[in-house]
Amino acid sequence: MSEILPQQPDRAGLYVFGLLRGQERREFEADLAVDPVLGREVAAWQERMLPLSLAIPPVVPSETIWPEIARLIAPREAVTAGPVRAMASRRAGGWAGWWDNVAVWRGIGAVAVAALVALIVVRPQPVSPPGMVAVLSSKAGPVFTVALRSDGAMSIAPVGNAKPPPGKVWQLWAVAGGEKPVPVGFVEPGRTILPRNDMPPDMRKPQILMAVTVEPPGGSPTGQPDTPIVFSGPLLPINGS
Amino acid sequence: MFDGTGFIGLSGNATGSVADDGLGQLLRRCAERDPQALKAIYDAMAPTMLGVALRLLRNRPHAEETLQDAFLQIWRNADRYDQSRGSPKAWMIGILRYRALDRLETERRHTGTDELPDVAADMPVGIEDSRALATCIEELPETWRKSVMLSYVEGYSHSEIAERTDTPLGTVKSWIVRALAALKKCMER
Repeated sequence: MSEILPQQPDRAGLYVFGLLRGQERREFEADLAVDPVLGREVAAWQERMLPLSLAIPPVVPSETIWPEIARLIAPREAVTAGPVRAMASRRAGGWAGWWDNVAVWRGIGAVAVAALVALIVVRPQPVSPPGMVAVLSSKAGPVFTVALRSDGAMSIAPVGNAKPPPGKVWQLWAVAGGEKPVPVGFVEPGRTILPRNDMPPDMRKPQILMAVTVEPPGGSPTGQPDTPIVFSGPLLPINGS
Repeated sequence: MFDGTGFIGLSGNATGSVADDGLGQLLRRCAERDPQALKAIYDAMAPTMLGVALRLLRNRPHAEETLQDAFLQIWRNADRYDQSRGSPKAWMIGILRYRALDRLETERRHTGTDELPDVAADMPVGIEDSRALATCIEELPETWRKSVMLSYVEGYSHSEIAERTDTPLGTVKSWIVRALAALKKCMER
């Protein structure tokens, strides 16, 4: 077999097979977010391999799983019964626009890291130490600090006296590279404590970007950010955790 | 250990891209924030998806958490589902798989409790939906086929496959690159 020269790796195929890991996967997902050709290749591989997934013996989930999902979607459901902007906005460039602008993230990230170093030193003594912190910064500088505990609870403290525009709220999102932003709650002008289930477990890891947008009360009706980020920063581990 | 007997039990059902079992319509209702639609999708898909997650993660609590995360993501992203990009099933199982792979990357599965050391060999996989894929996988040389199954079904990385098959990493990578190319070509004919 070794007489055949290795071909150019099919990155979409490797991705669908779960063979892009770590940095390779993040880089691919960043490309995927902005490259419709790659998107089609991934979709084609997912479709090709679907029969193999369907052939795996099914397993009935525990009875507690659905009620928990229903509970987690219910509050958002109550506040997002407005017009279905999702349908209208779906084709308008989707989220492959400014939200995926890697340069924006990098710029914001660098500012946040610098600010973080300064802020950790003066952090008030927490009750139990956070596993990760983020500094949410605007172009003008740090606006909030976020302390994320390993159980997903978050404490968000203001740096200055910023307030959202009148009649609007700040909505907090967690963004993994190449993934759609996940809404995790609302940020008050003062200190905010978010309960432990609000931050999905798969988002509790370094380099997840915490970002804030200005949205109508109740949050974005599309379930996705419809306005530019006003401030953001990546989660960073502390104490080597 | 990999003799292709896993690919029995074929039936002539339509592929997912043709028949979506009403799932596309349910996703549209999810996009309009109808929780009943998500429940209907859950009832239809959750056992299949948990089976996939369990096979990848080999840990029931982790697999169920992943299932839950996947359904929350389906709910959030239902408005982004695009029929021209494949069937609802492929899209949803994709979401589940990437969540499970996230977990695999952080949990170091194979150093933990692993009560199913060799399910790839032990558990026959009957392909319901498409003879084409089964035929194409069967046509692969055994080492390539094994790599396909260990990665796609069992969630092994290149280096884990290398370790498991006592093969140099470069050789495994080469098997996979060629297996992907061969599968793609075979499925197109």
